[in-house]
Amino acid sequence: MLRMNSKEWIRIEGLAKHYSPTKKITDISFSIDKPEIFALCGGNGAGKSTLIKMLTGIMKPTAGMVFMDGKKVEPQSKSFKKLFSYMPDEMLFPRQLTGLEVLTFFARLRGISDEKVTEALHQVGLFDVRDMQIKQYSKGMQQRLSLAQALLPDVPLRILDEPTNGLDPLWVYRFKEIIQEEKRQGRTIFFTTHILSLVEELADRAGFMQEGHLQYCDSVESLVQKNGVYTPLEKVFFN
Amino acid sequence: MRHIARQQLTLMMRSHWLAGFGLLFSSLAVMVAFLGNTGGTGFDGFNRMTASLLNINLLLIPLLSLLIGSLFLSGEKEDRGLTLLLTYPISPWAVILGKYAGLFAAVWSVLTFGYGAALLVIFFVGGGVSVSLLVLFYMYSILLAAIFLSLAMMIGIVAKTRFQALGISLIVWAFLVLFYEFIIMGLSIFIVKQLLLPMLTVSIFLNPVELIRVQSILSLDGASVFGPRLYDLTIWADGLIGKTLFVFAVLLWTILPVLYSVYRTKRGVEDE
Repeated sequence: MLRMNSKEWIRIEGLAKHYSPTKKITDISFSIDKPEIFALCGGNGAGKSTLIKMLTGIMKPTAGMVFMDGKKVEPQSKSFKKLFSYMPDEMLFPRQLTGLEVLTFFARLRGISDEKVTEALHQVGLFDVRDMQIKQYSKGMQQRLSLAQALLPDVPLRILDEPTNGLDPLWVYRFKEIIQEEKRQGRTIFFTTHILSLVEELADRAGFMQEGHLQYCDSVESLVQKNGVYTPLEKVFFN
Repeated sequence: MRHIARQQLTLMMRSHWLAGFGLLFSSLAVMVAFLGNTGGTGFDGFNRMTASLLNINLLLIPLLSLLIGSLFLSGEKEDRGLTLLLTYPISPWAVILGKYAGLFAAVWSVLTFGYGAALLVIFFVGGGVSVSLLVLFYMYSILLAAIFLSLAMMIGIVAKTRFQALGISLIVWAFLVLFYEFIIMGLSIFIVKQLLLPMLTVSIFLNPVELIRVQSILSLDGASVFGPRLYDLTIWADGLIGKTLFVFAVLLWTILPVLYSVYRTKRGVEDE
């Protein structure tokens, strides 16, 4: 049993993945509260996506454990997978299917109704093009479809890998609204991003990864208000 | 599993690849049925038509199954579709078996269409070719597809990219379909006479193409094509033990690669 603070929901303890002596993720420990918006930032190859893959059970960690409400959980177990939805980075859906067919398929896998599919399509602005084949979708539209897939189930945790990649400014704005609404509904959103302004604007807490290590992990407010003076996140992370 | 199988079947049915292969296979089957019947040499058993049809089966079905299965699966891995599926609360068994069922249903429909077209030609052109022979060939072609789709699943899961899957599939196909018999023939030169028959027997079970080839010929009472030196082999293979071992070998060739695919999926598709 792990000692937790009152809000702590999921705790990642010493998670590591060793690919080779030079390429590895070491000793990642942090917690995720409920509800909150947690942003994980870092440069390319910092290990954000690998961490997400370990957390979602796609990849087995070399070491480390995940705790939920103080109890050890296996990310590959069905019971844990029922608690979250996932939006992969740069998802490419089958080109020969329509947006509606793709979303209906994912809904069926979780026993979700067609009404919820329609609602999700409206949420990401793809309802009018639902019968269009994916090959006619732009990158941003595919990204929104991927987001709709993650918004389908009524689960307490949404894990989004680079969700704003390829979105135009309007849809980045809409994304922020959607995420804030999700938090208002009591959900936790864990997302990765390169865009530090998005973190400052949206996240309650943020972690910064560099070369496989978690360098910072704190509330965004504390990070930007070091010594009582506002310091942009990029200065906090890069100076 | 049902939803995954249906989705896979839909994807396959809308693929230009499958349509192209369906057209090629049907044209060849119809051509063989037509030309095999026009020479006036048609008789029940191993004749020109059945030999040609057997060759089409043994060349094309492994190639189609390997390419379609492995490219679809590795492509899905590359496009993150498989990764996403594995974050759903579904067991890796359901994912792999669902994909396999969908792929198999698609290839089965192509084979049924091809053989159906050939049967129609025989019906209209006439000739002495027995329909039961064609049905037997159809059954063997389905077994061949089942085995090679299973191998394709394994290749698709192991390969990191579509390109790698394509390369591995072509190597496996070339080895099993083209080079294997030459290797066995080469080995037989160096092996003492007493060990020749056991070696040939074992070699049949180690290659699904040879397994289906030998059983197809035996089923057509065409054992004479093996020659007098392999008479003992044909008697044994055509008997109860031979047939039981054949069924067992087909099951192993079909089940083992699927089991390995599930094992790799459980270990994590991106765990390299």
